[in-house]
Amino acid sequence: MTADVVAEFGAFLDDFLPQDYDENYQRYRRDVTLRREYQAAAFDEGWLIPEWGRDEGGRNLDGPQALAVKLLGAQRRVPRLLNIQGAGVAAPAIRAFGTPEQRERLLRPAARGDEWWALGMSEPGAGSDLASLRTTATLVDDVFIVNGQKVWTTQADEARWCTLYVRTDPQAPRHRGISCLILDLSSPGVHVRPIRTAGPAIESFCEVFLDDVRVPRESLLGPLNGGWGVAVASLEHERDMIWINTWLETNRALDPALRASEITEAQLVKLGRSLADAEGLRLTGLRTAAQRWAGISSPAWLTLKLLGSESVQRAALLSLEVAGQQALIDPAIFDERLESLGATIYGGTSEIQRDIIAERALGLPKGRS
Amino acid sequence: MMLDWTLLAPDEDSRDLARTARALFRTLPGAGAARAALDDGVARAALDKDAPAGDGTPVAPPAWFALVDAGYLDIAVPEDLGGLGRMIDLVVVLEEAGRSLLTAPLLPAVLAVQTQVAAGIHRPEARSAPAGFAVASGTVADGRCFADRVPVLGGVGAATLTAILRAPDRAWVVTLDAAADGVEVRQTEALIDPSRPVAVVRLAGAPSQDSQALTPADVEPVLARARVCAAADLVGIAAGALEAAVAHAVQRQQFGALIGSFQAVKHQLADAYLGVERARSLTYGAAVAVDHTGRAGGATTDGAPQLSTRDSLLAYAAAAEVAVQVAGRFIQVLGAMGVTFEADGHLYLRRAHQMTSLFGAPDDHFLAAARLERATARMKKEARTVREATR
Repeated sequence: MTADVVAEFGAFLDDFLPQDYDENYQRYRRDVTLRREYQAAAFDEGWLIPEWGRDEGGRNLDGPQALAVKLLGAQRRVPRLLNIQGAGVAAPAIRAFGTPEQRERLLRPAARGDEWWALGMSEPGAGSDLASLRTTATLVDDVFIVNGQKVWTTQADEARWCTLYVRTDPQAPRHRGISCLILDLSSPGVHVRPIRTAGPAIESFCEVFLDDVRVPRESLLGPLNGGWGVAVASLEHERDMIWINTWLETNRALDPALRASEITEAQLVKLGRSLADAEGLRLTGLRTAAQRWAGISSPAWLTLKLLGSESVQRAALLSLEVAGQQALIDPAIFDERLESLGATIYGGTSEIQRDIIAERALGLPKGRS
Repeated sequence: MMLDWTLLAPDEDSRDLARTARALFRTLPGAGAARAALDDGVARAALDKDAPAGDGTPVAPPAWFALVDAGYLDIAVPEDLGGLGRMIDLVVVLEEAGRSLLTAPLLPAVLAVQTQVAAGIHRPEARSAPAGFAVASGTVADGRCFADRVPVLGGVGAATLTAILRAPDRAWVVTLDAAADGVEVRQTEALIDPSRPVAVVRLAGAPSQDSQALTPADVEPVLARARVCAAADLVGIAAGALEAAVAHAVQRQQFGALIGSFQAVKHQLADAYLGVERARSLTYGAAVAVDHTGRAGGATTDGAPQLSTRDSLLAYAAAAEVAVQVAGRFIQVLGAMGVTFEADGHLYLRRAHQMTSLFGAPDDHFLAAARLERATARMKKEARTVREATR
């Protein structure tokens, strides 16, 4: 029964979270120790990725049950994972594409947050156009020799591992010459340089320089020259589930407007529109999941990234407006507004999302002119 | 409260219903009739022009009887009143009606029936004849209705009228015989959409058949069911305009390429798609919430009526906004053809603006939803304070 499972998760949260978590949420959301301990405890109890098998650290829940658990987590505003892409993107990719040895060694620490992951995708010349990446890996005596540069690599300065997308066949058509390597970021020849962000970002991001880095052949993730498939599956997984987190962030950003003692009618209209954003996001996520379980295909899920990131942005802007002059002396409000502007850039820009929606949901012809 | 979200994906029965409705509506007067009505006038569009002239009683067009036979008026009416099915089933049918620019008076009759159900004054026989629906300022005294200007959707050719009449300190849901003394028709011509005509009437002491008095706070919950239906119609209008715009973008060539391959066009259409899906999700969600609340908007302990009221406000606001936007965008994508009488762009735009002019602008509904949500947040906070004080 879904209700029983959800109740059990609720009891776990009651037990784990501090008594004053709701009242002092603003403080707790920056509490690094609590966030780290939450991830480990939730994973140990099988709640973090409950759809996984019991032997992998999950609870073997079906889709609806797992989604119900994650939604309750978002409703209760569980502590944000410190290294989201580890459990959220790298771990599912290792699980789907990894060898038995890779899964045995890497899966559990990635999901539990014991070992952090970075995603080595963008390059100075390859942003939205990921398939034009130029970092090369040449196989010499069962070792890949890697040369090139990655950029905008989140938490590369703190991560142990990196899913590194490299060109392994320069002759092949561009999508078919890419492979995904599991790079140990402590390898000789790897130089990581953090990039200073415009505001105090929650997560760092970095440049990664790769100079004759040696990666053993066993660290290939997925097929040789099959890296594009790994990347697409990873990003789809992210787009499929990230909405729950975005929904939480939107609601959080709406708190000030919901609680402000003074608010103008114009701001109330914006608040209403943002409520429609949040509910529209939640309901589209649920509807498309329900459709998938019922075996009906609907491309509406393709809108979740675009809708979610724009929802967060509108909510953060409203929050700043509602603060009025207080925003002048409370930089955290501006910082959130600034941070929200990244949402429509990372994980595939809104422009790319619109291309994807137009081509895959509406059947419009390819082309970017 | 947690709703069963598998209800958000219309099941096999709902999808069958939608397919059947789409096929039926294709055989009934739609875009062509809507265009013709702009030349021919309201009476020919709303009434059976081939009916023999008799005692002056309006005769409903054949399309009306097709809707009755299909059972569409019975959907989402409680079983003890002879109905069957859920609000989500009605929503998928109304969406198809909006998409096909159906001219037969399905929506006004559904709005009337659902408002009667919400107010607890529905009689099954009201579903057999065309009915008009209105929300207006007015009063009721000793069973007699007074209102100066009541714009009645589906008012031309209707046998009965259902209205929410609002005074500053109270309100009423009333049903009236359209032919009763004191129902004075003031205007039926010069309409923005004569294919689904609005009649402006004056109520000068017209006797109500049934009436239910409401406090001002009851009005929004009672309106929730009708609002979800209006949202479904608007989602259909938007989806129809988007489909037509896409169809044009994949066959029109300029600069040696299909215009749908240009980002300036495809991004507009992608935004339109996102807006339609957002509004559709909100409408389905509100339909599920309304079913959960039950027929009456009365107070219950779990906050369900408040939730379904808020959801219906958000659904209507989002659907109205996107219908107006996408109809306008369709006209833009068509280029110069978009402003011609022959193209369908203006037909969708007429429908969209008919709805927003009748039932209110999106912003007003966003604002009402925000007020409700702030009140709920305050209540929750007070409840928490009380809980902690008594711990």
